[in-house]
Amino acid sequence: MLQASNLSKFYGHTVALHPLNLTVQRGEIYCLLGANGAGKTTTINLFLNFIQPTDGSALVAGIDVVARPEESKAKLAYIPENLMLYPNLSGLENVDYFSALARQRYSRDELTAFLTQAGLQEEAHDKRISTYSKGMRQKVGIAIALAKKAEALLLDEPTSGLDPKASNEFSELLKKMSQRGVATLMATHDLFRAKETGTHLGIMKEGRLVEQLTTDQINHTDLEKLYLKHMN
Amino acid sequence: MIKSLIYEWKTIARERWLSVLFLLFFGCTLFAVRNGREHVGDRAAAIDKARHEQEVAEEATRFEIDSIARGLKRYEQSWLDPRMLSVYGQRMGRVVAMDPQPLAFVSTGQSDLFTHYTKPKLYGEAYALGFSELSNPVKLLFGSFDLAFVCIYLLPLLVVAFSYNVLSAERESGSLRLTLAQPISVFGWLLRKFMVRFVALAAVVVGSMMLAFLMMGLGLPHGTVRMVAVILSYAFFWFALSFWVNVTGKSSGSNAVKLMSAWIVVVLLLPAIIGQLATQLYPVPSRINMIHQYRVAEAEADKRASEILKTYYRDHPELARQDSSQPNRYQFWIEYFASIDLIKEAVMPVVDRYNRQLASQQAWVDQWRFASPAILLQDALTDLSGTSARHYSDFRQQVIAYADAWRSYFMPRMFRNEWMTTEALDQLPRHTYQSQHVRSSFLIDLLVMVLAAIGVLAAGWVTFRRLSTEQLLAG
Repeated sequence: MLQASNLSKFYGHTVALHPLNLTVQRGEIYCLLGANGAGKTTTINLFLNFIQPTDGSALVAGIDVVARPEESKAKLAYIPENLMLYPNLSGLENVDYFSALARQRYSRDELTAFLTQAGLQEEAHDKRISTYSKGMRQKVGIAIALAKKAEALLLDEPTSGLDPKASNEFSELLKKMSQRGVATLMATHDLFRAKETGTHLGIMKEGRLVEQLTTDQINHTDLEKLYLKHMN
Repeated sequence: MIKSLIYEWKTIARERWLSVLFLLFFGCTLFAVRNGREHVGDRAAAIDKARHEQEVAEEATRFEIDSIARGLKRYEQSWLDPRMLSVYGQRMGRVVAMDPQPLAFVSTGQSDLFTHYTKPKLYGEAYALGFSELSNPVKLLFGSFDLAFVCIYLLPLLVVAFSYNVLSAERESGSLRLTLAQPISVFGWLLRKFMVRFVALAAVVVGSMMLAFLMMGLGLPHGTVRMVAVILSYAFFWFALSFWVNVTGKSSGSNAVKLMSAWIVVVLLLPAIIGQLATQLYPVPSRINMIHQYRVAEAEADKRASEILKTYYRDHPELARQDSSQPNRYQFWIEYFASIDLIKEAVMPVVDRYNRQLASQQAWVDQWRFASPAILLQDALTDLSGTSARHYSDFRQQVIAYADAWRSYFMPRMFRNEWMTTEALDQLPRHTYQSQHVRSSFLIDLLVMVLAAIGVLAAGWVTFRRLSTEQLLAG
């Protein structure tokens, strides 16, 4: 579903991403680990066509993101670290608005259902986003992804700054999405959450993917050791 | 598509400070329309009063002439006798007025510089009428708080306040990232956002004006549609400019500075420079100098009166009386008429120079008005209001023509030594103000304004094409 082939990004002589080969299949949750500046966000931005690759290609459902950006974006949902929505609109209205941008039309009941599935309590649906906590906004982000019928999910440190309960709820939502066959690529610093939620792990360092493994191959302690070994 | 327009509208409508801004605009509009209406009311009232006084005076004089003819009354002193053509022609000059056009209240234009009615007489300085060193067409463009001022000055500020950060605010708040992850054409999306704002502003502007017109009891004067069209095209230009500034992808602060600089250049600097250059390149001769020359020529003609008259009779044998046994009671006037051509001849160079300079000034401004949409709008609005420099220049010509007609009526009759009769009263020349033959620049102004806006929009498109998503997100 998500595929990077020799995908690289250079800024002059600075290398942001060494040629990267990575595949995320339907239903997989691929967690990218690494320090700040390791190339996690660059990878996600390349899949979103926010930046132009220097070489290689990024495919979403087999669609090249540079050649056919609108088609590839139709299949993607994206939740950045700090999801900002329209503060003057309610949660429900935001989902409706972004669905309209993605050329989807829903009744009020359908929109309510998406928000409920995303775990947002009913009484908040019609309140303005400006009154929402970060966790609530991330849930609206999930609702937008659900409404968009996204086949792939790109997440850039979505749980940073969330309290443990909210973080846990978010992980549960990701698992639900993956059960529906959504391919997820998530950049995160949270080793624990990555091991709990993810199906695959990748460790990045200085623009290179230095380690790939599946979560069932390793326990929490070994993952931390492995991670620190690469960082030192 | 429609849904995203609706949500765009909702986000705008929920901003409280914008409602405040619009209330302020409505207040300004109402105040401006009130000022304009008062100004035009004074002008119309002055003309009506003059006309009424003329009617009363004419009726009284008719009665008096009739009484004298019936032998019921007589005047010992001939200079009081209304039957004397010289007395009537000098005292009973008819009102030549420039009636206000239906939209005169929109733009004061040159109307506070000139008189709107005059009474040309037999004797006098008709040619000096309306001469003024102040008649520079741009200098006093924005003198009073009228609707033209509100539109030229304040409307762009409203457009800027309403649109300077359409794109940058999305980036700065962070919502742009989510938007750019959607399968949309960003250019189209941004254009739609601007469109919604333009329509909202147009509704507010038109609504404010119509409401102000109705509240001031003006109804919908003839030409309102054209006025609204040109004002909205001006707003369109500012939106286009703001769009261009937005797609350079810089911060809100940078956008605001750029747009305010554009406002200063387009609204303040360019009109001031063009107006200043008009007076510097084509200075108008002084009015004092003109009147002085007129009087010198008059005095000179006085000295040589009998000699001039002899020459005059030689040139105009048809004016010589067959029966010259009695002296002509209009002898002084006949000498004056004979000398008029000489006086004209002496003054003509100055008058010509004045006319030429004024025409050059006007041509200069006409030509350079395309440099600033603010001047274009001002030109279009004064054109619709009938208060443009062209209208006043045309009125001056109408006054001069009427003064000639008045004199031409009396002159041959005075040479024939006739009296004024009640029958003759009905044949006196009348003046009706007509503005139809003033060349209108409205359509060109409108067209150029729209083209300029489209041009700026196209420049915005080119700028946008060069902007990568990366730059768009980074700012």
